[in-house]
Amino acid sequence: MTATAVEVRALTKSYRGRFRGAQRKALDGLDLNVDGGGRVHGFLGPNGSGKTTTLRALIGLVRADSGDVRMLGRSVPHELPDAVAEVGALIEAPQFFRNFSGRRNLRYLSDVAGLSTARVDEVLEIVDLADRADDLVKGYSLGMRQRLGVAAALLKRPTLLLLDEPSNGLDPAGIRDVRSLLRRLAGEGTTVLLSSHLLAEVEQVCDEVTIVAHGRTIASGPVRDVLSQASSSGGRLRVRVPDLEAGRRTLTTAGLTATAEGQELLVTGADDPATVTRVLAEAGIYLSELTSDRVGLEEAFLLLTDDGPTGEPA
Amino acid sequence: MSRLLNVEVRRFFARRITRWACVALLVGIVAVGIGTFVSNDNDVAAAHRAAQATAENFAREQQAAIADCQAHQPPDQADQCGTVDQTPSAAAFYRDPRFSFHDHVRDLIGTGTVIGSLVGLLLAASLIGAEWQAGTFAALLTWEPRRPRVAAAKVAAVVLGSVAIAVVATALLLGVEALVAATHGTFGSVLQERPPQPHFAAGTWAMAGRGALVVAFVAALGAGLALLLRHTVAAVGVAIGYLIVGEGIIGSLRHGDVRHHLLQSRLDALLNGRYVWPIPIRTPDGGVEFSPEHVRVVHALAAGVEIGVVVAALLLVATVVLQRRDVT
Repeated sequence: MTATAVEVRALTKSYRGRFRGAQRKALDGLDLNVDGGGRVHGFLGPNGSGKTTTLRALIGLVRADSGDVRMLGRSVPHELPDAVAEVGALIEAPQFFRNFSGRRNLRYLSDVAGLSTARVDEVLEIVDLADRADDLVKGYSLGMRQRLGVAAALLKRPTLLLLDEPSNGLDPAGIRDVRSLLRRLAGEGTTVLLSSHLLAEVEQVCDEVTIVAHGRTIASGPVRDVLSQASSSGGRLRVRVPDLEAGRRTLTTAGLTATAEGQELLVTGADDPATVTRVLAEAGIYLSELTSDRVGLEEAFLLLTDDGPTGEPA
Repeated sequence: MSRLLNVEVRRFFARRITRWACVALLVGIVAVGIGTFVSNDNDVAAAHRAAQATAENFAREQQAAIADCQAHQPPDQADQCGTVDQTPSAAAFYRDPRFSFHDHVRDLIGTGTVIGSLVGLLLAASLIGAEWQAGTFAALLTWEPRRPRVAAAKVAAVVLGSVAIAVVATALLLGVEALVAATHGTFGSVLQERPPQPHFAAGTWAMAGRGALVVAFVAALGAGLALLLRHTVAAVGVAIGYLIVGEGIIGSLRHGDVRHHLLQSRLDALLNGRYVWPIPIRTPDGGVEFSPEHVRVVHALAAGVEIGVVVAALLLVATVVLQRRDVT
């Protein structure tokens, strides 16, 4: 078993524009570490943050300008042919021959890798596409194509699965199925790198998460740790006091930000809730309730990627 | 590599455009067979009678024309109307009604090669160009990241597929025409004045082999252009545009004295064994004349080697570009 499934260090990549000289930096020293051994690792970032370019660099579709990439212990791109037999990938929208059936498309891929045709039937069953497998792909809905893409990625019984927005186009039942499939695969030892813009999906499915923006890694680690990191840097406290205005003045004087919202004060800028209780108590104001606003992944994501409600960098 | 080639060959023949091309070729072959069948027959005696009647009719009309002329000319100028010194023989008007397999077999192979080459160019460009457009090329590279292998498998598949289609189509065309020869013609020559051709059968087989090579080269050319341009229409457009427009313009330079350098001439030489082109000779008054004694000759072997070098260079460039290209 490989300890680290994916190791990316200081990866940079610029795309040349249509007109020579104009360069667009897609990756700017990105780091990514995905533990192996049956983990689901979320890969989050706003549009254009470099997620898909990173996945493309991992699978050898684009050549990085600099940096080190290792996948399943092998250097990419030099040793990629040795690693690719253990890697399933679904990058962006799945692409198939439209005038061939889903089954025939998968058979071509399985033949390229020397897999048995029985495996094709197995993965079609897994993604619940067996009854439409002999229909032409051009007659498939977006969701069916997505499921076929997941089936193609599973064909090789991969040790590492690279999935780029696998829930795109799926109906709620399909999304639920994919999520439970990912958890099941992880339980069976497959490591999944899941790029998604569905924050709830990442929060529900992933063990770890890496958040990227502008081609750089912003935060990485277990989902819980990333959430607490966001909470500590921008978390809010809800405070209930008898006199809202007196409380607000006191906290503001102490260097905290406090705004009245209904019967409560929303306080930000406190490293520790104890600071709030101490400041208020010293002013003779005794709070009746103090709760920490739980920061969800969505909020953490916005805070960490500079796209928070205030537009202020986190 | 063999697995990849096997998949690409199967895909080549499973594609709709390949199947439609095969159906179109089949319909064309049947149409040519029917056309040959209805425009030929075995009634040699009737053809001789028709030739005799035409000759007699021609002689009568000639006599009548002279008589009419003499009637309208002054007596001292009557000799200007001419005389009938020799009545044309019926043989001069004889056209053998039979279809001769011997006299047409090389034309049929040539036609099969030209059509096979065009079909090969289209199918080769389409197999690779359409895959780039659909994004399936990128999907395949996630399964087999060794790009030169992928390119080699695709080029080999389109070459094998195109040659197979061209060979089968030409064989079918020859078979249909052989059937016509058996029922409405002959397997021998009907051209009395044709000089005897030694090693005719061996020469014909050699031409068929060279025809297959021409199809292979043209298909590889289409595949190389599609790898490079990543678009079917662009690849076919560049190939056809260069061969017809580009070489048309280049060929007209220096009174055509550059034609023997062109790809068309090389393909012609490879198919037919040699390509002969007259050398323009400047006359003292600044004009240009041609003489059968002053010709440039391109032989099949040289033409084959040169086309091979051009195609190999194109494929090498296409593979290097593919290797360095970001697939996005």
